[in-house]
Amino acid sequence: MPTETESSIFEQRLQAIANHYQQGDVSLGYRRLMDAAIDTQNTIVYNEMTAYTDWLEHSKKTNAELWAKALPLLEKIKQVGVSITKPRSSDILMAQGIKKSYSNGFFSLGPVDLSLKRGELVGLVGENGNGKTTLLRIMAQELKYDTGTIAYHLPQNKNEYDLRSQLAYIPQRTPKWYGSLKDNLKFTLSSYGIKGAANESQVLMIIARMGLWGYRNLNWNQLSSGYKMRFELARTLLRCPDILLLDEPLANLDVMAQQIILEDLKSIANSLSAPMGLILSSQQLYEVEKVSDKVLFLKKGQAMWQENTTIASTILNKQEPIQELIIEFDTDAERMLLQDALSHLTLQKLSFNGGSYIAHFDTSTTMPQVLSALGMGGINVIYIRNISQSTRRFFVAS
Amino acid sequence: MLLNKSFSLNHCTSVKMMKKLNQYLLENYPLVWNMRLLSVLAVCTLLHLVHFVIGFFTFSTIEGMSYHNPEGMFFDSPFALFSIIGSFIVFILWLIKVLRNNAFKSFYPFSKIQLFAQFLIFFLVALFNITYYFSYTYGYVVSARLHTDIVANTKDNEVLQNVLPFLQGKDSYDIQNRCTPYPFPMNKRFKNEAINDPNNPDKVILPKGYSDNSDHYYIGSDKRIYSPKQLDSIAGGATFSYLNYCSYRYRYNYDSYESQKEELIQKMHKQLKVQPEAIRASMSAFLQVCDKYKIKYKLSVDDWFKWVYHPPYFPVTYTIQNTYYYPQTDAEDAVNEVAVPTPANSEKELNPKGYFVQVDRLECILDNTFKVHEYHIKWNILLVFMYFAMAIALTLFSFRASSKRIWLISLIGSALVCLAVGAITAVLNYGKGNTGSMVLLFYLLLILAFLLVAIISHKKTIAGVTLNWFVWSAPAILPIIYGIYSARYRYIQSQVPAYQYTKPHLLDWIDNHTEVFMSLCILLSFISMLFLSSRYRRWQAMPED
Repeated sequence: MPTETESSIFEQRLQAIANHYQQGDVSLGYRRLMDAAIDTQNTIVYNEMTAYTDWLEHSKKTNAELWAKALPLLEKIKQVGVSITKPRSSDILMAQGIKKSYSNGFFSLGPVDLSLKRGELVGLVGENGNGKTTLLRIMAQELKYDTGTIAYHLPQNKNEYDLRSQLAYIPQRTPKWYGSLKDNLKFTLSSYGIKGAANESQVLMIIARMGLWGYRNLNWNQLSSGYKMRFELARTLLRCPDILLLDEPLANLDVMAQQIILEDLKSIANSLSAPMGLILSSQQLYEVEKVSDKVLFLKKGQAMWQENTTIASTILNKQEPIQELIIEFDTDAERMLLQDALSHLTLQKLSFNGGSYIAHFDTSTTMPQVLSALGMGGINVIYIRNISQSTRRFFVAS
Repeated sequence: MLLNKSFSLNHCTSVKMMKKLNQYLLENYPLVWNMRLLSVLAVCTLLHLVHFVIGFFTFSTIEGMSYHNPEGMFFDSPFALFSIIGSFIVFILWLIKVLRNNAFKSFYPFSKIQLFAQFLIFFLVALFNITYYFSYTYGYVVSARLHTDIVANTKDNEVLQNVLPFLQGKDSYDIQNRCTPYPFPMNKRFKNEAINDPNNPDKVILPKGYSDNSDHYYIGSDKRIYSPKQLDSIAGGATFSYLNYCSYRYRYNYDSYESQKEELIQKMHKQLKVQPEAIRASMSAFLQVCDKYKIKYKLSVDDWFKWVYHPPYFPVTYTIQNTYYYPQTDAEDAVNEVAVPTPANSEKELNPKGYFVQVDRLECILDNTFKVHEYHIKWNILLVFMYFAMAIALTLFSFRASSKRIWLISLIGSALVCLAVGAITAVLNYGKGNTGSMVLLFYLLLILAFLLVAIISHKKTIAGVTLNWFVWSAPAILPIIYGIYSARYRYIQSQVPAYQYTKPHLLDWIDNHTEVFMSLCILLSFISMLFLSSRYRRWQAMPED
């Protein structure tokens, strides 16, 4: 049974869906509508949702038509309500002092401390060869570690195999599969004991949710890399893992798809019915930071934490104090001109890393002051970003 | 046109039905779907049917039954090669499909019972796919049963048995072969051993001088010693006599052979002595049976009877040649070529008219006819196939439950281990004494060491390889224990006088119940796999180094 808070959150989400539709953001509204449908865990709702998807896919519809058709569905979802299968809990994963060295001594990871809650999304960033995949594989129990402890607080954790059944790890290069996409998903679900009509409904629901409706009868060779990743996500979501570990899921996606997938991952991790802890590695710092509750930066195996300023403050109830203002910007102006423009601010350092300039100021300077100074100086800014609290500063401002 | 449409409609319906069934299995029985059990069973059933039909049409004529034993028909025919290739292709195609999905390696919920069920499926499919021999043989048997009559066969066999005493080579009639009346049969003894009491009138004493010309004597069933002269007197001078014939045919599955044989000998003696016409009638009936089965012969009843009927001692003066021995490849040609055989000089004396008859061939026909009517699948043959299926199932299961890399390392490693074990065996065997049980004990300890390492090792590769090795060698544990036990007692037996040695009951029981013991070994292999399935689960979940 959902708690009052959960019911209230559910109501809010349904209201948000209505708003998205009414304001013409149909695509987002539709995706959130599917999330809400999944939260009901109700086969009838699934069937109606997939019928809606099928109707939607067959011809072009106006926003008004889409909303008219979605409204009764929304009402139905409201009526059925949220079904909680995995209640939120405290930490489901606690790792302390994890260290791993390879026998050739070429690389060593850690020590790394990490904790993960249900519904939490942790971003794992770092340059190539800095231990992201190693850490993910250790968390997935795929790889041994030398020292430290990892505690999993998961239900039905009777033995090692049961534990690994609850951890889902998607590598960067997903393995080839055979047969149709839909059959593979059905196989996954029936292996989890969901049989008959419920199997069909749930599979179609997840196919719709992951945007694979038109691809459901295709096989591996017929899918692009992005859709293969979507398939892997669909398969993993059907497994309802407690912990989901994704290695570079954005690597093969275009910019738009990256944003959508990240949004979806955030929403799925934060599902009311079956929230899960999610760790994803990526080199898309900006995008990952936007959705992550906290970000772990790995450099030569050493870990540096960055709490998300917008989410961490509410979830973790702490915020790292800003040490300095770091601005990254791109311009075709000469360096001298730039220094002149910024000279009246507390500029401590201006460096060029080959692609963009990194300007360091003390905390008395603010972002609007920097923007103003650049504008007044007639600097043609192509791109600008405050990276004071972004892990990007570890990459570019060293 | 209409027929084509109807066929196409039926084809579509069956394809739809197959798809529906497939979807049903996929949604409800993922393991059955993943193992493509229905498809492979359907294909194997079809192949069994094909083998049955081919076996059925392999039977052409009753005369053809002289060439092959029905139970060996399949392996004698070139079709066996196609069958083995077909079976191999089915395995390959099936495995390509089966290896596509692996819920176990994907860490989907997979209990040890499901893992064991997977092993059972491998075993069943392997067994079903290697036993086409039975379908082929059964097809042949069914066809042969339809074309032959067991009642007539029994009668024809009786006719053959009646004349068999008159169709043998000369050696069969030696008095040493005689088994009736009492005190026959007699055993030949050499002179220096065969001495008897002088107080008895019929006895011979030759303790020192060897004054008799003969170099041997006989000891009868009454334990008395008979000189060759005495024997000659009993035989009336006919050392080679039809009355001495005692080797009636043992018939396949024939119950109470000894009492039947005794009856036949008594009957033959009686007919020779008081019913000569019955002998003539039997000879005549025999030639009719030969005609019936197209058995080649050159023989006249009158001459044959004249050769045989020399009362009262019925000495063997002439013999009839059995020209045609089973198995012979090109039967008809051989018969034509030897229609008038040209016997050697010594044989010419015994067979001046060159009489011959294909007795062996007739015996084969009659025996094989009897066999097809008595045919049933024998447990010991099925056991052999089960052992093959077990080997295939263990190989496939270990491949599926471990990983390609581990399986390949295990395979190559096992070859190296076998080489090392061979070398150690050679070293252990070098010398004398009770090394047989030592070698077997070493094998047993080695197998148990595999299990121990598989359990305690924290290295995934080492644990996986030793687990595979143990799984492959586990079915040998019981036979090895038996071997140690048996070798140990053979050694004890060799060390003590025979009268002090008694064979242990268990060993005696196993030796007399080999099939039961081998069945127990298979059963234990299944039980051990149930436990090992759980071991594979733990291994699969182990992190890599």
